[in-house]
Amino acid sequence: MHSVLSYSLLLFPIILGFGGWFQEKHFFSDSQKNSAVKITAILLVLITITLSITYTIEPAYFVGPWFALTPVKLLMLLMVIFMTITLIKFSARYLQTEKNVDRYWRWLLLSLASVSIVILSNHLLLFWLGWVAISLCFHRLLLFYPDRPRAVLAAHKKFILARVAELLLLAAFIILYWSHDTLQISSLFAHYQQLISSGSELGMADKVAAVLIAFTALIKCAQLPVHGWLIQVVEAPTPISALLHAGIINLGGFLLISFAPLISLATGAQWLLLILAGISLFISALVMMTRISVKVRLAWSTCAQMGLMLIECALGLYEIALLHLFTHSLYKAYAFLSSGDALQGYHLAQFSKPKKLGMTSAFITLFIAIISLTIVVLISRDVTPISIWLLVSLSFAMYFTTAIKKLFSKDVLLAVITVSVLLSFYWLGKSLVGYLVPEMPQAMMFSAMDIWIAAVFLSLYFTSIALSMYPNAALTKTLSRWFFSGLYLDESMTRLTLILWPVRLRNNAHRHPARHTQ
Amino acid sequence: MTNAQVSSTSSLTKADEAAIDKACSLIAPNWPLDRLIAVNPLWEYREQSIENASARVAALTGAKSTKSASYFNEQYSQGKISQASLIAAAERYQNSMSVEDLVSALDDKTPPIWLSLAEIADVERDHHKMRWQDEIVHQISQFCGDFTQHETSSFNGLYRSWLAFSKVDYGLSLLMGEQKLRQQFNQLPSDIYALFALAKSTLHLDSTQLELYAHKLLLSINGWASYLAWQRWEANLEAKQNDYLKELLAIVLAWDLVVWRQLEQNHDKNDFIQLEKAWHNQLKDTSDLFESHLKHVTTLWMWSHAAELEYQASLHQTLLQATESKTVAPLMQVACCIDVRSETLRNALEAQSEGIQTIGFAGFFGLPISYQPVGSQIKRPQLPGLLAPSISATGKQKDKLKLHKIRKMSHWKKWAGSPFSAFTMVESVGWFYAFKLLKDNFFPQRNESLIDQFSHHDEWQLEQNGHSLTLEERTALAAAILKGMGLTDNFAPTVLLLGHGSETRNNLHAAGLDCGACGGQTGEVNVRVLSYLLNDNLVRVQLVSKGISIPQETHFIAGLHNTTTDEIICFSDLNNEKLDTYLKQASMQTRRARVNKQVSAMTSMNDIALEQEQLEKTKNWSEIRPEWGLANNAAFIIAPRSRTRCVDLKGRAFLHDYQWQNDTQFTLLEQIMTAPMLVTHWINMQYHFSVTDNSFFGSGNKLLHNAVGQHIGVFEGNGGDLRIGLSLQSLHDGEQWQHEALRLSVYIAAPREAIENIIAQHRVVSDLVNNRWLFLFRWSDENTIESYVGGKWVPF
Repeated sequence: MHSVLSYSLLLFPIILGFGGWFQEKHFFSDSQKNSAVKITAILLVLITITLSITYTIEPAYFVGPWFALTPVKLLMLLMVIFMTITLIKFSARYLQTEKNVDRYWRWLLLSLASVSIVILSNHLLLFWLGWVAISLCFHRLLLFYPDRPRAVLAAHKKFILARVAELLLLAAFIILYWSHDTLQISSLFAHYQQLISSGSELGMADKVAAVLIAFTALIKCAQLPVHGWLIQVVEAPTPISALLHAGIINLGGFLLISFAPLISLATGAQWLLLILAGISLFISALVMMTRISVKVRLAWSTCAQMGLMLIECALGLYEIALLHLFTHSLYKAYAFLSSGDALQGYHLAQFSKPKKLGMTSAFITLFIAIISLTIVVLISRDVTPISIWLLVSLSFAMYFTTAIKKLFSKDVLLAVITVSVLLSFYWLGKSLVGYLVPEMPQAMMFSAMDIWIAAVFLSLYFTSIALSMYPNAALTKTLSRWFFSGLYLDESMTRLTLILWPVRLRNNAHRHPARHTQ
Repeated sequence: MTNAQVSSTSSLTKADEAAIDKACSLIAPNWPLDRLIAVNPLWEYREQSIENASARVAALTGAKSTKSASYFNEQYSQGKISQASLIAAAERYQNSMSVEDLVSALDDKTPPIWLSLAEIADVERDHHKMRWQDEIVHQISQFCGDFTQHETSSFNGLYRSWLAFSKVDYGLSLLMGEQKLRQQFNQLPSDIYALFALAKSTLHLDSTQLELYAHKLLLSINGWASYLAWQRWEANLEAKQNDYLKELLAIVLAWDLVVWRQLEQNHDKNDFIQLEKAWHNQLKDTSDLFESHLKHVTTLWMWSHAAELEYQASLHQTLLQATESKTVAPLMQVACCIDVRSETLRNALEAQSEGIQTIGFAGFFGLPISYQPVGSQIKRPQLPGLLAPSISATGKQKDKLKLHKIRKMSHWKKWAGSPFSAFTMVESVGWFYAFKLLKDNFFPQRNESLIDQFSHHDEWQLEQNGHSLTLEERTALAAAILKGMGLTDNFAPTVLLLGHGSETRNNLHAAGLDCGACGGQTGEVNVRVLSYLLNDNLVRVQLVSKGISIPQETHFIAGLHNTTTDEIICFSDLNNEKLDTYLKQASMQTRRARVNKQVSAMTSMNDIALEQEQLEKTKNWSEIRPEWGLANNAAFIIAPRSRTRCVDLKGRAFLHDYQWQNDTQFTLLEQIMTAPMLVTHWINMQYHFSVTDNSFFGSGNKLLHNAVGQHIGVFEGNGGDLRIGLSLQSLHDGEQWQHEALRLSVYIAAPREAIENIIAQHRVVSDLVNNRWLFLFRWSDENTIESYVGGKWVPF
């Protein structure tokens, strides 16, 4: 009975589910409900510690037919538990006096219970059921204030998309089951790894399944043009936004990582991801610049960041994708929870107007980036995709050139040190995570995929500089306007939604008791 | 009439232009987040009675200016509003209704609302389509926000720029499901006056109707209108003019015309016929509608006044029973802000020893300064919003290290937030946010705002028009301030100048809890500058010639009352253990008095636990109710402290020291009635209206707040209009309101003629008093209280 310990993983959904069930039951008092949340948090921490230690000692015991723990899953789990504790602590005070706080706790904990099922499941059916449950539970959180028409509309859009994504995923799983006669994710994973090492190709059914999975991931990660709901759901209390942007939205990435060897073999799915996520990244990053409110800015930034994560998956750089998933979650959770600190950014900007990058220095920066990149490539003889390194080296070069006011000053030294430190953090993170992720084949340097993504990054680089440097030129004005309007993609989607599956938009005449127009 | 050329030939009359100007002039300013101060949102209506003003706002928007009928019903049935007060209130309104009639009048239905074209079109609109009004507000709001990011200095050309944008906005017709909507924008005139003329002729408006209509449209985007009104206010302080509000009006008006023409040209015929019919019916019934609103709100104001009379009656009893305290040689004098939070603190201070005297004075201490952190270009006003700063104050010592650090932070922030490098920032240092999450959640620290970090100076450079203040100028300033405070002799060895400020984290409306008299900042700069000025021996020598001799041993000490924790921080050593203990004990006592009485968990805490609890609130980033600010304010007392010293006013009164015998020309009284009285009125009305209709006058739910342009204001949620006023959480503890909506009762201890003269000389004061925006009482030296009603003094 090697798999016996895998059933202990059930504790996570059970504890979270129990904590959730406790809420909204009228026979419990408010303080009992509060204690239930606290006990849930404490139990989670204790069990996480115990299981992590046991797993490190006896990893083999944790793979069962229904549940399994792998290094990646463990890391994901730790992340989810960390977020759970963070959100519980924050919300305890933040939502203390809300009338429906028990409804909040209930659906928060049930959402997280479903997340833990998806992460830990080793069974296609369980994975899918968990996947559906997340979306259904989270829907209730998005409608925490059900009388806000914009919240209703956004949640409605999300509801439809989530159902589409679930159907696609179900189809993919059925195909996988039919062609391989197994429901276990670990067996499928091993099968495809086998294929990779033997240099074989995928069958047609697998290719279709891979494309379906890629589509599911794109929808789940709110890539254009189905991003609108993500931007508009800042109609729920801040911690719900934090949960969405630091947790739920990442599931698309987790899905791809879970089926990494399949995706690595499916060129069609890869291209699909690269094209849609590439365009999403480019547009969302630029739209973000034009947003006027802090939370909406953050939402667009998530859209772009998810694009990068999907691109990294498609290029076979799963360790960077996973690194991105974690670091972005932490960053975004903090950014949302501290969004009340917006004034600090204003004061900072008032104190010192930072140097802007002009076109000349933009080219110098690019030059520095390319030189350093060439040197690194020549020395390491690495053949990994160049596009991702271009993004990194160009970003650091930007830091460098904007930090320096005078050429021969201690600014230079300071900037060199900072960039080196940043670079070593990057390398450290990548190596640590890389240690946990099974190696997958990567796109070749200067392959068509690589060049496409490099082109996306370079266009983003030059467009963003042009927009901030020459805001009044005719071309940039037109561009700005298009980006300000989000390229009208969401408007079309909204209209389409309202035609296909109308939602009754509340007449906000509620404050106007009688109207004398008839 | 689809041709813009034809219709714009009809022009506006003088009366029409005046009507538009009038509508624009009725919008009150709203200050941005970084200098948030309280404003009466109906300030610009003060020339009308408060009932007229609220009837108008109710008719145009449905906003409620009083508590609801059901609230009054409940108060009445609980006996909190007595029949006697009700009758007295009706008398004040020259109304002879009986109690029964007044009670049954509460059941009257709220009259309908005057609608814009977009709103009328929405009534019959397909429920599966986006509503005109919502999308219009959203589009204008987003556009204004975008405009501020590019053209922060000026809003000229707002309309043209909007028109150019809308002409090529493909999204709206998609979103609204309206064909050829975009073409409608092409037919709009690009000149705002041509547009006004077009609207007038298309919609058949006379100039009275035009004013109402323009006003209605501005109120439909009241948040941005108030922001632009603030821009106008600032321009006026510098004796400049601007027409930004007219530009905004043009945009909303253009939208309404677009809706009209869209229904006319691209809709089912019936849609337009209905719209036209409803519009003309509405125009026809306008005056009746306003009459019925006036009747409706007047009833509610009478009830409201009955509640005010109840409060006044109990306050009068307290004041009249007060015994005047004896004067002893002072050990320490503490000058505090007039803020209601200071009232509690002052009681606590004086309870420590007979030798402690407190003085109530506007918290900016009469210093017309702006604060400029040394080495920066920032200038932050440190005085009431009514005034423009004339002197700039800068610390004498430059803090190069701190400045350098801030520049680095600023550069980092820019890099981390740039659309290109944000990806790499996340991948390289994203991990650190795990530590930040842990730290802020479980091990939070106290911290202060960036600009405040630069204000801890003992020595100050004061400049006016580019030159340093001369000794004479400094002396004149010092003398004026001391006289204003009534502190010209009998100095104690220690004079504590006590400003106040709050301490909160992650709070977009933090400035609203700071000192309003200091322009929504803490009072630190002001008290530090003033103590520097008054401790200067050269100034003291000169002061003697002005009749003020400060003894050698008297020392002025700057300090701050932290209103979140009720700590008193002295910026230099008191060198007196006894006084230190007094301050500590007073802090403790204040804390206990200010604790929310409803929360039994807090009232039962011991002193140390309570202190700890309040301290936690300053550090907790998820705290949405750090303190109750000025909630429950209700009175303003202008009298010598000796008359209120032994009285507990429950933290509901603003207190300004005033001894009329020392004010021979009544210039001081004039100042108090034209400046601090207006400020207290603004605060009172901000709390009042934010309670009566939080969705219109307040900023709604804090859990949904979303900062706009980093400092301009907040959205509630994803978008919609910019929000003004206080959040629900600042007023309501989840169970009940923490502010009772009562108009301010002002008590002045001065001779009748003096008060009457000032009312007669100042239109603002007479408007406030005669139009019932506040209530004026005289607290005579014979210890009687009389009320100023309709130009006469009436015994209460």
